[in-house]
Amino acid sequence: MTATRTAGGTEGAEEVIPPSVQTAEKVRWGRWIAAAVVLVVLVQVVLAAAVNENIEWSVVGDYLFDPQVLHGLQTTLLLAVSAEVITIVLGLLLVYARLSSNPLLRGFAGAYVWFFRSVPLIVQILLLGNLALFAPDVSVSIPFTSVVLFSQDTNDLIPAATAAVLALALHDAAYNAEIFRSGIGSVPEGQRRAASALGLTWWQTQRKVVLPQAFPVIIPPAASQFITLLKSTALVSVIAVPDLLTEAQTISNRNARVMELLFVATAWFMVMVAVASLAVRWLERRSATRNRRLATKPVEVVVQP
Amino acid sequence: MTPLEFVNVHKSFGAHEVLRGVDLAVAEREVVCVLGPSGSGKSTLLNTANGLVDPDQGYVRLLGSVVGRRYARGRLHRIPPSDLARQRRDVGMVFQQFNLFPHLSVEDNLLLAPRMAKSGSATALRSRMEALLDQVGLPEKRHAMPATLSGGQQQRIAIARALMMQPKVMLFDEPTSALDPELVSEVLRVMKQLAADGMTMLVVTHELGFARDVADRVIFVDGGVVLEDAPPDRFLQAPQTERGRAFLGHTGVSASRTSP
Repeated sequence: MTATRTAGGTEGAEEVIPPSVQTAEKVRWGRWIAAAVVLVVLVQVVLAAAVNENIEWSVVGDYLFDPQVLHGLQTTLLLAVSAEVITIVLGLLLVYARLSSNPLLRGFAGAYVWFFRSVPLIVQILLLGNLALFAPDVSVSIPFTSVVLFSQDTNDLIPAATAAVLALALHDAAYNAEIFRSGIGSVPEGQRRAASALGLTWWQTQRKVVLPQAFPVIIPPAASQFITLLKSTALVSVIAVPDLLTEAQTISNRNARVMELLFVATAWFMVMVAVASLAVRWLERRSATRNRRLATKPVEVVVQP
Repeated sequence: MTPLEFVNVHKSFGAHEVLRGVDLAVAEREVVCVLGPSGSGKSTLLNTANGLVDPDQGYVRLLGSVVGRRYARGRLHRIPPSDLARQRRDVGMVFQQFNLFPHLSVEDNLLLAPRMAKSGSATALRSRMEALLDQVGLPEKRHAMPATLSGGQQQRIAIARALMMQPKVMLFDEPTSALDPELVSEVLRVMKQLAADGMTMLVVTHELGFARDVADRVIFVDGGVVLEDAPPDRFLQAPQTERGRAFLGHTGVSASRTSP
């Protein structure tokens, strides 16, 4: 349209705008201010740490790969992994108890989840670590008789490390049971009916139909629960299990470098969580692309005996 | 031997009595269509035929043996779940919602049950699968995932999946009710061919055209009882009960709808 001046028009004059006109970038002052504030705070914190004469960074470097620290790291990983294995099995048992038609099993599973979710983990660790105070020895006998089949001192039977794994696993199983329950609950009832109608047994139905479909739903929350578990292992230092934190503190008790050794432990926890997160992302991607892969998978008939 | 026989089947869900004494026998190579308004107990009746629903009273006899039960000392006793699973392999079921396993390819959907049941060698299963995919007209979908198929294709695959176990009886629970109208005929065509091949079939359906063209008998169920049991033409043209007439009136009918 050509610009024309309409004399006496109520709208006023129409300006000439070239067709190639572009919208100007708006200067976003708020962004710049926010970024500047964050930057200043960061520089302050880094400077405070770096130039602080109470912290010797070389000490952190010295102890990062100290054999004692590495041994603690190994213990922490062992605690987390063995607790996770137990917790998966226990969580599955609990969720199937909870979904069962037996009211006693259902009630037990419900009570279990309620108990282990309501007592703080550190209390559970202390309780299990000090079990000997409550039951000095563990014995297995035939009920209602005096025949003792097996008896042993509690502290010998359940060393601190075992108590730690048990406490972590028992606690975590309550959370995992809930995660598994929502995953299994997300599989439509029609899937179970179709599997039954095809003559699959209950166990075959779970293994081939229900769990594979529940898996992608379960992975993200179960993984973040594992990362929580990994960090919770630090709590076992209260029953003197030689984990990463305990070892770091043992060293700092000797050389009084408290902050430096806490930094060492912190660094290793960050590395562990970063690695775990990467593994989780890989698992998630894998289950997301699984459908596509299956669609193009070459024929593979399992030979039955 | 009568392949499928319902004897005095009763079933209640809570206070609601869904089936109130159903007697029905399906002869070998016979196709029986079950018609009736929704909520009349048709699907529940079908589900008792493979033990997905347990009758409160009465029993279902499948190929001579009672479904999910064993008769001894004048009473019925529950059989172990693994025995019920074995019984179910003789009867195929097709659902309204297809219920294909979404995490498995078409091929794995077909092979899962026979593999679990160890029914046949790998080569035998593979050729059975190829034959069935041809029979339902979808040989090219062998490696497809269910989500990539249309409703009609999914239902045809579901029929092939049920046939993989080489059942003696096929149950269809409103197999075309969830389909877009233009996809109904391809499924009915497969079912017709199956009937022509001599399969014993019990079909819950709203497709009056299919009932007229394919069924040997039509059962009209309402209020949990069989109200009419007649050849399709007789029921569709001259229903004997008031409720049968009302049902056909509502369906808008006259069975004018022809299936291909």
